[in-house]
Amino acid sequence: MNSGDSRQNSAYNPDVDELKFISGGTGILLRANESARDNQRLLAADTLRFQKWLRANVPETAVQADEAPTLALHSADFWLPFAVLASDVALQFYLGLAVNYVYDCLKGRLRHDDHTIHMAVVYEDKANGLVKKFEYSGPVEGLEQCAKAIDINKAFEG
Amino acid sequence: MTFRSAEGIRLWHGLRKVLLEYWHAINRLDFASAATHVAAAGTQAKARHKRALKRDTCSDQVLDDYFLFVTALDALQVYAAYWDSVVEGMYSQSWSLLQDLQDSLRLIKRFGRRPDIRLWMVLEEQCAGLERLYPNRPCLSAEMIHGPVVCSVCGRRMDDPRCPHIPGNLYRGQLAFGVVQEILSVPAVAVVTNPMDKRCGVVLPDDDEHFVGPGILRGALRDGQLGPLRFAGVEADLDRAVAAGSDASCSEEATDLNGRTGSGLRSASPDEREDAVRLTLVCSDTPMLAVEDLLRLGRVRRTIA
Repeated sequence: MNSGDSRQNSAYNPDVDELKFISGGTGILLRANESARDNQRLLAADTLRFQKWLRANVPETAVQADEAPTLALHSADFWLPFAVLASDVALQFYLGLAVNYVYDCLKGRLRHDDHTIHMAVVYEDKANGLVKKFEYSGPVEGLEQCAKAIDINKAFEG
Repeated sequence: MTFRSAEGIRLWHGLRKVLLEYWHAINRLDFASAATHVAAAGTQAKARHKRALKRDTCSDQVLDDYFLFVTALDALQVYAAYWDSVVEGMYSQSWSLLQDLQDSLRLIKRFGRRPDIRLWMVLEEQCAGLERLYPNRPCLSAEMIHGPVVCSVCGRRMDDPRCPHIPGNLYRGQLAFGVVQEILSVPAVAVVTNPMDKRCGVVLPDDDEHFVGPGILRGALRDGQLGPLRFAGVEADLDRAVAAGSDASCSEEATDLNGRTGSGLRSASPDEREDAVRLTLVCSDTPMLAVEDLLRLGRVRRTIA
């Protein structure tokens, strides 16, 4: 693990819609998060751009997003949407997409610019049939390291 | 080269006289005149870009180069305006101008053909150094809940699959971005250390004691100890410098973070106590930018002696 990042990979209890999507859907579902303040469901700041980027770069992967207002946070961080992966999308593939998206956005960054990535993704761990949630917060290099790990559990070692 | 099309390169070469005058004006600290030189060229370029978009006969590459051309001229104009505001002691404004300059540099690096053009690399390096001179101010970040967003290029809702434009990308010389149609609420304003826009901070008056860094820079410029084109960086511990009430007092040899040496200006507390804090402006013996760096826009980085 890099200094300055936080990673978590734990069992997750999906709601009915998520479970239906994981087992019977295809592609990626970008979900709205429930706001802690007033329980309003809101899309993360980068949802729209990320969704369009996915449509342009992986047109063969179906991408759908919840209909909800967006919470725009004007910090220099990336707030990727809470994603749910259907069984036809591997976590590694999704992490690779997230890394490519962030690097694409960062083209033109200045050397002293500093950005943190925040993301969460729910997926089915086919090895044991569990639904898990992977969360990451830190620099893009750390996320890239996770995407490169063949076994995501190895991303938590060392 | 920054430009991809023959038209873009031709336009930049056509600015030879303007760029020469700009460079000489910056060298003699006549910033208003330097800004005027490029402003006129920038206005013409913007009009040309608009006409080309209307005619719709130019290639994507040419239109993108018009955008880059205008952005490059904007960067040079803001560079002159930045140094002018420092010399005039308008430090709050100079901070905003420094952010404007960096915004232009990001666009040039993102859409230019090559990112390693010396002109842009030097300006980036100078920006990094200059930012360190300013106090760490709390910045504000508004949390906004908004509804649908409309595309700046095609006018459709951005979540409409018929809109192919990705925010932040360039399409026929037009930067795509989302235009928020309705802000539903602003539930909070957060104080953040790394805002999207560093201009959104607490505005300090120009005579605030925390502007010790820009004050030293101003003194060095006015005393003729430093020119903008020789500014190579900063070695500073501003928090301690403010505490010690330091000011620019003498010059010495200095080595910057990249190992370059040159004459520097250092500040020390008036009584030169043991814990005196030094604020060193690293100054290159030769100009960081030669006039040909502006003219050619095609040189790769070289080591600065």
